[in-house]
Amino acid sequence: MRLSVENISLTLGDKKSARRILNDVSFVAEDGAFTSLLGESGAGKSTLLKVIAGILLQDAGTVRFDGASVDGLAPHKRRLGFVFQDVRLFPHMNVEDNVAYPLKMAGASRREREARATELLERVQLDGFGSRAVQTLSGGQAQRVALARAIVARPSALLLDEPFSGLDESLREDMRSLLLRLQREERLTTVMVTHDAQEALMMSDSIVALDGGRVAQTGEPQRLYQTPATAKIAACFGDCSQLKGMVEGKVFRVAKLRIPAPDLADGPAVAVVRQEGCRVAPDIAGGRGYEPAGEAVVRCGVYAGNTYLARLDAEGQTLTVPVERPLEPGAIASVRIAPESRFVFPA
Amino acid sequence: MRRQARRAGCSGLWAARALVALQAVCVLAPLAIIVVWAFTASWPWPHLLPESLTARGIEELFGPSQKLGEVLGSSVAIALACAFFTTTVATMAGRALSRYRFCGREVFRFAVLLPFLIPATVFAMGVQVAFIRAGLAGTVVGVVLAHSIVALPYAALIMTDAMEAAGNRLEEQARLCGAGPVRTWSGIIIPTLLPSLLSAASMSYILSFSQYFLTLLVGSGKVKTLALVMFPYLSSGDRTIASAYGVVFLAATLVVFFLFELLLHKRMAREIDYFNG
Repeated sequence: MRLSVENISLTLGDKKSARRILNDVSFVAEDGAFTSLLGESGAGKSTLLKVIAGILLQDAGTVRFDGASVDGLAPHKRRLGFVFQDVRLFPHMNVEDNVAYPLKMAGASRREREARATELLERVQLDGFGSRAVQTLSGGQAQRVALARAIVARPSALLLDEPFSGLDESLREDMRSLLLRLQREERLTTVMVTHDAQEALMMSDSIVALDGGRVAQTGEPQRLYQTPATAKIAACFGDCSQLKGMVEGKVFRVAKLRIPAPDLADGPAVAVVRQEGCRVAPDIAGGRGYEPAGEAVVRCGVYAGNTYLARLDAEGQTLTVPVERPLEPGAIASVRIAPESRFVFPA
Repeated sequence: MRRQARRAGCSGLWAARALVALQAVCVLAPLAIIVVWAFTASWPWPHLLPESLTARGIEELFGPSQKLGEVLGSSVAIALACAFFTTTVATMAGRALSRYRFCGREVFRFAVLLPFLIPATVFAMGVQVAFIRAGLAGTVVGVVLAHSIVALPYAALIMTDAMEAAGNRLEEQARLCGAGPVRTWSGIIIPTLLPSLLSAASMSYILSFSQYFLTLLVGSGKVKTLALVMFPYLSSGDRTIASAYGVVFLAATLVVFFLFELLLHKRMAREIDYFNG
């Protein structure tokens, strides 16, 4: 199913404390594609998911499933699978009854329900768990049951609201690959809310970056990574430093650091420098792909396992650079930055 | 050090046991005295034990003039009807108070609790006048309604708190699983709220079952309940018959409560956890 969201706006709260949560949001999730809604807390991504599901009603705009508006349709008639971060298994039902619940609501026979629930439990690696009480499940197991329940009735789309954020990192990786496998097997149009940019990069066919209730950028993961539209998007992928400075004559300047900014007019600006594309001169003497970016004073160095990190001072701000050996505080470091790892945006 | 801790733990355990024993004595001793009095002809002070026993209380109780079965049946029926009606209204009030923001919400919350604040006699007078005008005085429906008004604040408090604790998480999930409003209520909301529903129903039942003055006024003496029949013996000082009625009163309540518990355990084999469900 092709899911499209068109010009959705929503204000929540009473008259005194009304707050615009969504502001003219539009995007399309293609049939069978995995789309991530990426943004920090308060960006409006969970609210948007609830609007798609019909739990919240938008003030303006339209949600379409395969081109047909579903605005007047109650949540239970939208045929969606939904996984919340807090799992929400029904406490008075066992695992199998939880998984089979959407089928029961759809009017499936008992035999059909049992067969499909057993199949789904096997596919989420929980075979034999059917008769267990949900209170006896671990966090990962409970989330798998919730996932099985969400797809058991072959929904037209699967919506996930930060499904892995309550799990340990080791479990998250397993759950991500399980979700992707199920999503591809069932060819499910999937929309997942996440604040983890790396997760969005690895899982999505398309990412919608939200900021302050507006769409900041949409596109394939590569596009958002390589040509981010805002400083926030640039900064959310991996470790990076953000520096405030001025653009003068197409060059961003802060302290003695210089970064090319050919598209920007003179004025205040923010530079985002990804750690992986930043080095100091002795480490990459003659190295290709790195361009000189001025000098900075070493404030301190820290051990980070596979490397050391040098904290360089830029008018009280910090530029963090991976280095091969610890640098002496107070030393002058000659900084080099790869063009694909530096971004400058108007402040 | 460890021995000291163990000693402290032991003394704590003994203190807890002593408190439980004291509580048991405080509850059970008066009940035991009622049972003994039901078979006692005379028990003058300062005798520790009854002077003489009698079957007069039991004979009177089961005598044809008392119509015990009829009175007991109407008492239980009125109390059950009150429990059902009150719990239904309290659930709706709890839903409105916990879920919806509407103009006059705080006034409504206060209005639900208002019968708490009005003395029972004043309330009974007012209700009687209103019910006479409405043609409800002297009817079972009138008595059930009057009892329900008294029980509503207790039940509404329980249900509002329970609904606020439960939130709408499971309800949202059920809707997204394809359940319409009716099936969400019957399959998810009511089963998860069952312990609170039974608490509210038990509270309403016992309040209705033990009402005397309100039943007398609203029922105009036509609607007979156990409390109504028992009261003259209490006021005239006939402890033997009053205690015999007390025993029946107690037994009837215990049986109904036992049935409530049984229902709860049958329907709720698993523990309900509002927060982690």
